[in-house]
Amino acid sequence: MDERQQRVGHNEALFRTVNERIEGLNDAFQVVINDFQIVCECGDLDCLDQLTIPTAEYKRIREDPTLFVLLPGHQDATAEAVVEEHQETTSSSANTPAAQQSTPPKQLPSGRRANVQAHRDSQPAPCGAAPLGHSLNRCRNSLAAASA
Amino acid sequence: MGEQHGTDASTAGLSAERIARNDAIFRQANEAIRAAAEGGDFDAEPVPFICECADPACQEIIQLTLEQYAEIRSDPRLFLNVPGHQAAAQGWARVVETHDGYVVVEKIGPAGELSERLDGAPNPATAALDRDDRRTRDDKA
Repeated sequence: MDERQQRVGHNEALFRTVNERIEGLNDAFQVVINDFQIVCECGDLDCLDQLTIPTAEYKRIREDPTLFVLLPGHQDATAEAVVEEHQETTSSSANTPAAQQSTPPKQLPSGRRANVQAHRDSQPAPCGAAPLGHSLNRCRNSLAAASA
Repeated sequence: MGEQHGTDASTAGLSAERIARNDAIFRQANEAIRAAAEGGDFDAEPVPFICECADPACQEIIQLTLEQYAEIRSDPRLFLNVPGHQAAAQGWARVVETHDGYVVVEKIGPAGELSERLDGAPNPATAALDRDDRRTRDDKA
């Protein structure tokens, strides 16, 4: 595993921790919600993009320690493979936390398109320039999974 | 328009005790993030922390270095907020520092006293407190 892959793994594991704590807040505040806002779990530490995901969906993904939720295009082809893609239908293109304040939270449609696909050999898109939706990535290195 | 968090309206009617407990719950979450970051070689890197305002629905992210976070954390009355979210404290907080992307607020009055007493409590949502601490904003005067 090279240094970059290690860095990506550490970053993804940290974002996963952040999301787990956000999820934990719902328990601490004793609120029952269907959706919650998570941070993109990509390997770019500067990425603070957030997306709204059904709580049950997040729990399903979280059961596999090698799976991470990313905004489309944020995957690092050297370290992970896209295994599912989910298309969003709401019209917000705002991906920064500040913009999220003034736009509707992004939602997954009930009839979301999901497919499992092989590794996509594209370069990661710069954070903040991602299209709508989120993808589910399987981390190729074991570092993030081991840290999760 | 998305729901606004960290506003005066988002916590209207909450007592000083509830404000302090909410802040402490967010702080506890951030302590777990700090612990994870300390184990992952993030010494010089910005780390994503959660806004510690009093609005339970706020999940906004603030980037600080571990050193910046530790400086705030060294005083149990100080909390990090997204700028403007101090309004959710219902008057029980004042901004003492303004930075790019976040402000540091000091909890004041009974909320400040409670913040000190809840500091490090394993479960700040239910930690026992004296009845005298359970005042509301109307009691301040």
